[in-house]
Amino acid sequence: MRSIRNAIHNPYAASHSMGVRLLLYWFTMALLLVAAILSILMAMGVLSHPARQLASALDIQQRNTYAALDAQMDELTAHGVAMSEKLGRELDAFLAAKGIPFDALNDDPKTIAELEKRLYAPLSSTLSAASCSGIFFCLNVTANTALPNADALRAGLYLRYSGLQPTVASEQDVICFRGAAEAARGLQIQMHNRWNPELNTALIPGSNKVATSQVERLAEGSLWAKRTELLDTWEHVMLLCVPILDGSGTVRGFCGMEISDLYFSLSHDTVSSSYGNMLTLLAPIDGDKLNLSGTMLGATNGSRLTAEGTLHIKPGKYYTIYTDGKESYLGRHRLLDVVTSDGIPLAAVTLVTANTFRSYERGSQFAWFLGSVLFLLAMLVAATVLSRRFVKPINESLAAVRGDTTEVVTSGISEIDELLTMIRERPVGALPPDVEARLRGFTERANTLTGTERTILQYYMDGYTVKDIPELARISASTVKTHNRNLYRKLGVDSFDELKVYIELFASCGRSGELLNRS
Amino acid sequence: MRRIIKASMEDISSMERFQFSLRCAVCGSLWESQPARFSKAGMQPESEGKRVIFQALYQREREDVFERAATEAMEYFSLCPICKRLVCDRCFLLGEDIDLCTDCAAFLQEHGEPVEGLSAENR
Ligand SMILES: [Zn+2]
Ligand SMILES: [Zn+2]
Repeated sequence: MRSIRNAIHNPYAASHSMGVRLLLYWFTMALLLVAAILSILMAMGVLSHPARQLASALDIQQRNTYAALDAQMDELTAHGVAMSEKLGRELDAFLAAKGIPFDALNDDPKTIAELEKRLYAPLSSTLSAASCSGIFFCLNVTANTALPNADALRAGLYLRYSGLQPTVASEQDVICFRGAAEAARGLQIQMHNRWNPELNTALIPGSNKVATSQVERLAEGSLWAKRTELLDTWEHVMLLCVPILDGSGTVRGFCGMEISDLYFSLSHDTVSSSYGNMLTLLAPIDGDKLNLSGTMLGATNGSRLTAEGTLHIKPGKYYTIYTDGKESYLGRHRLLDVVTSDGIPLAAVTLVTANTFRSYERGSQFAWFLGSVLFLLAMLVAATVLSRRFVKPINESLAAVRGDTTEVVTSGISEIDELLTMIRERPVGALPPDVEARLRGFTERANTLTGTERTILQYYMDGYTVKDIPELARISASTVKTHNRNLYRKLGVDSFDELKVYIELFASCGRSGELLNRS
Repeated sequence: MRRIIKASMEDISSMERFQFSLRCAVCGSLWESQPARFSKAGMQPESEGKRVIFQALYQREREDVFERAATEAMEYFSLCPICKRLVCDRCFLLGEDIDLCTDCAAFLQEHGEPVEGLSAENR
């Protein structure tokens, strides 16, 4: 029944050769091997290389960071120099119009306020053009030389943005942080809650040097004051200081821009990546130390980095490691062409938190590992199924041959099917064709035997031996010998043993009766 | 067969040796068994007791030789299935349907080859 059903449903049910099956099997085995090797390599972290991927991501981001910071510093310096030149000219013009020498401004708050009002215009226009959070100038004069710290106090104007939204800096409210109250009122500028009339230059690192040393070119005389607390506020800033020269080339003060922590962090957002957020830092790097307290931090969301302490720098193969002992960061840095007031170079730095990266690394390794293990399992299942399929038809066919089932079974393996068909098409108990032919020939030859020869053959078939024949057949031993010779010759055997083999063969097929039935 | 031969054999023994003979029923030729010497041949029993022992020994040895002679005769004599006589190999023919003595063959007009002749041919 089943064979009929099979024939109806799948008339072309092709037997695949054992070779094809073995090929498939070995192919699966090969895949299995590959999967096993892959998963071992994954487990050892050889193949997936998050570190290399991180390195290239860092490279790209670092290039951007460096270019942005380098451009920003250059731009600010250029604006600072231009502003200084304007201020110098305005100062000369003012003094000329008043007909007073520069030093006459000391102890003259009224004239100072007047001068500040006049110098507001170049200050304000530069503030709106430059990428900074504040702008200032101060002159080497003070409204009250009698004050105890009069040496450090300088008359000047310091404007800052009140609320910072870096994208639209020009529309921010500008407030007066330092400057004569009269000037501020006259200019209608709001006063800062920490307002003071003059700047305390003692709180601006390196400013003394800028305000006193003679320079040929303004750009050479300018200097970045290292990150510091802004005068007497809680805010931290970096200040660019450019000397102001009068017409005779004498340094009369300095002017510059402010970059506040807030401004910097707002203008340098984190860049998210698979390895965690990438941070931008403008940091003084002294040998293998990165001084965080002197560092301008970009946005730090996603990390616990603060502007405190020191990071030790350890170069690595794929990335540099920055660590404070507790927290580690991976990244890149490159020195900018800028040196702060304390002689330490500033560098553009790109960082990711080591922990974030490590968890990514573990995740990626685990994902690869999991993937390979699943692949391995799938291949194992495939191999098992394939080999079962391979063996099952053979077993079924063998069962059919053994006669455990009467159903006609196709193994689906051409070689075995051929064999089965051959076996099936022969009658039950059939012998190999050549043996069959031999038995037939033997039977035919047995028909040529004489009566006594047949009688003797019958005795042999009954299990008697040559010695028994004289007694049984009542003939002489010589007669038996002669009969045997004829018997062997006629049946085509060479010995009694060979004759015995034929007799047993006939007996085992249950065909002994054929032998002596004379047709 | 052995029984028939034993019944047909004649004792031609003397006091010194044992021997038996069998005659072909067709040609009348006499076949004699290998003679066997009596173990006490030539010896005179010293006493009546010894004589009795000698007689018993003689009988026993004769029986043994008789059996051997029958076995020997079975080499050369066949029983004709028609006339039931013992015949020598020269007078016994191998026929197509049946083996038989030359007399019976002539009477039944059967053809056959004598055992002895065939043996000689093949030898
Ligand atoms: Zn005779
Ligand atoms: Zn006869």
